[in-house]
Amino acid sequence: MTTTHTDSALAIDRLTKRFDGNVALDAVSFTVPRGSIFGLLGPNGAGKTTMFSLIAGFLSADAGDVRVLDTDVAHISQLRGRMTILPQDASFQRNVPILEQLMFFRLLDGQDRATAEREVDEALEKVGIAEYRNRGIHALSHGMLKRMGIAQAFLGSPEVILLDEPTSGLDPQNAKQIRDLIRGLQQEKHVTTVISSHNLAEIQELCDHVAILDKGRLIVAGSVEEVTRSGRMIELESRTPLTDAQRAAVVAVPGVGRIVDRGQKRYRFELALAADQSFDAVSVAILRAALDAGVVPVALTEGDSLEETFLRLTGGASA
Amino acid sequence: MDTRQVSLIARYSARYSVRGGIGLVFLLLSLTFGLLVAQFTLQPLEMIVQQVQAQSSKNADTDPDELTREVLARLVPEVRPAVAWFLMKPQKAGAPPDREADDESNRWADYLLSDRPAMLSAILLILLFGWPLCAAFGAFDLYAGDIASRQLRYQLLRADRASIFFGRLLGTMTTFAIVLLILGVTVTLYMGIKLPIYSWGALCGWAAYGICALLVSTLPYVAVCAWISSAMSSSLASLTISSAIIGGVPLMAMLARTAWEPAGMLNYALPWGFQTRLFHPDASQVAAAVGGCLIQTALFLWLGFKKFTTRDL
Repeated sequence: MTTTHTDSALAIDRLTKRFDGNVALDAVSFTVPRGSIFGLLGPNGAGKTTMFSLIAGFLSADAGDVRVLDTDVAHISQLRGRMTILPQDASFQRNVPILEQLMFFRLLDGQDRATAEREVDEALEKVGIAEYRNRGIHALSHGMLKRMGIAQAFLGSPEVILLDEPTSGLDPQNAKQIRDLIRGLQQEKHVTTVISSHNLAEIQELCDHVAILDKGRLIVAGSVEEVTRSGRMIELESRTPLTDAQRAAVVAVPGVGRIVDRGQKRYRFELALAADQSFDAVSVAILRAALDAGVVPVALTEGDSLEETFLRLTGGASA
Repeated sequence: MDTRQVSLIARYSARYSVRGGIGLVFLLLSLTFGLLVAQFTLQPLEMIVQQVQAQSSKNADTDPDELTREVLARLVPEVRPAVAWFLMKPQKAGAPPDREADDESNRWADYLLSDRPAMLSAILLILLFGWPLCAAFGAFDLYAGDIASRQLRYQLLRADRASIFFGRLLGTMTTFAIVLLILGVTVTLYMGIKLPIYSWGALCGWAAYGICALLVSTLPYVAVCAWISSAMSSSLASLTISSAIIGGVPLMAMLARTAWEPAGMLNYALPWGFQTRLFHPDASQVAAAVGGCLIQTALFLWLGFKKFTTRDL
């Protein structure tokens, strides 16, 4: 990545963490551009949650530096509300009403009571649990607790939000709602969001930048375009099976590597993009070539290139 | 450290501390223990006063002061030897009696039983030795539970660790002060209403002093709990170790002393060895005891603070 510190919301430099001699993170370096939605991927045990915990200052690093909004993580509390986090497996207090708990966080950030209460109401409204504001967490289901955690992370006007598996345990509707909220924050307030998720399709849909970790090491980091450049693909569904001539016409398009049959009328075009070729231009060229060859396309979609890239880079382990 | 955040965390902590299961147990345990001590101490006195009142009703113009004197005249000689023995420095086995130490403990006993409301002194002395174990129940979960459940993680991006450490400590001490105040007021009111042998001024003054002394003596025990709690990631482990240390020190000192005299000094690792001097008639002794409590508090808090601010949370 070419992003400099001044452009970056997060700068991670040779970050190393060991637990009882086992290396959880091994000299990991990458930067997260301001205003981006950044996906942190890796198989189980790759070091994603450790990475989040080091960025948030929950854990201390054995070596390396983390800077958030140009502030050393050793002084993370100075950010006061500029960075928030949805930690994995952290619980809320059982004996305190939801409103009071979330207001307390905003009061710590320096807000007055009236503003804090208004902001909490807005955040609870956004995630759809406003009617539970005066109840304890015992009244919430697992999915609602997750949404309360997300409301906590959206409180106030954070510039950087860390979300450790924000949609796990949520039903599809709520997961989509959360994705829309994240996108809305990026578009309206230029908020930087770092997400870890096991749902690669979700990361591909949502993120513009990713980093892939495996066994504590950084495998790759960069924009989704850069990372998936060698493994991007297009899936075509046609009205009738392709003839040999039609196949040949599409394969002849510069940037197309090979065709893989995915069913009777479904085909995957694996791309081999040159440095000066854009994915969009090749997509248009494929569609044009197919139409010229008399193909009636029913659907043209981008394949799960991130998933393919991920599986290739991590040796086939699941995210 | 941010004083505004310390104050916020302290208020939040004090406000919600008794709403959780552990807080309720502490509240009930402390009040039950305190009121039981008061009950068992005052019951014999009530009986004596009733006897005296029954005798004086035959003679209606009995002066209340006379009644007081009569009660004290019966009570103090009964209690004084036990109190003097309790306050006396431990003597070497087989050593000749230390007359100077005897005189000091007798003078001290007189101060507590004659110069001050005697029964209140007795209650305060018993509380002084039972309260540290209540303190362990009230402070063992200062940090350990929230470290285990990772609740602290929501606060760590918003407040520095020093503010969290001292805010929670201050909140717990505020809760302790409130519980002691409730206990003190209840006992004082009960004594003042049921036993008209002391003036309200004497009772209230001595009760206020006693609550302050108990609070000062509690500081090192809470600081020990803060240290243990900040080092643990389990409430149960924190409770077990805190209670074992607080209750184990005098026990070990007593047992070790029988084998090797200087081992009795172990009692001074916590205020057990000198906390009674908070009720000494000499101001210099009281000042030394307060100083000892504050030095131990500072030491244990420093250890706890170091641990809390550097450990993985």
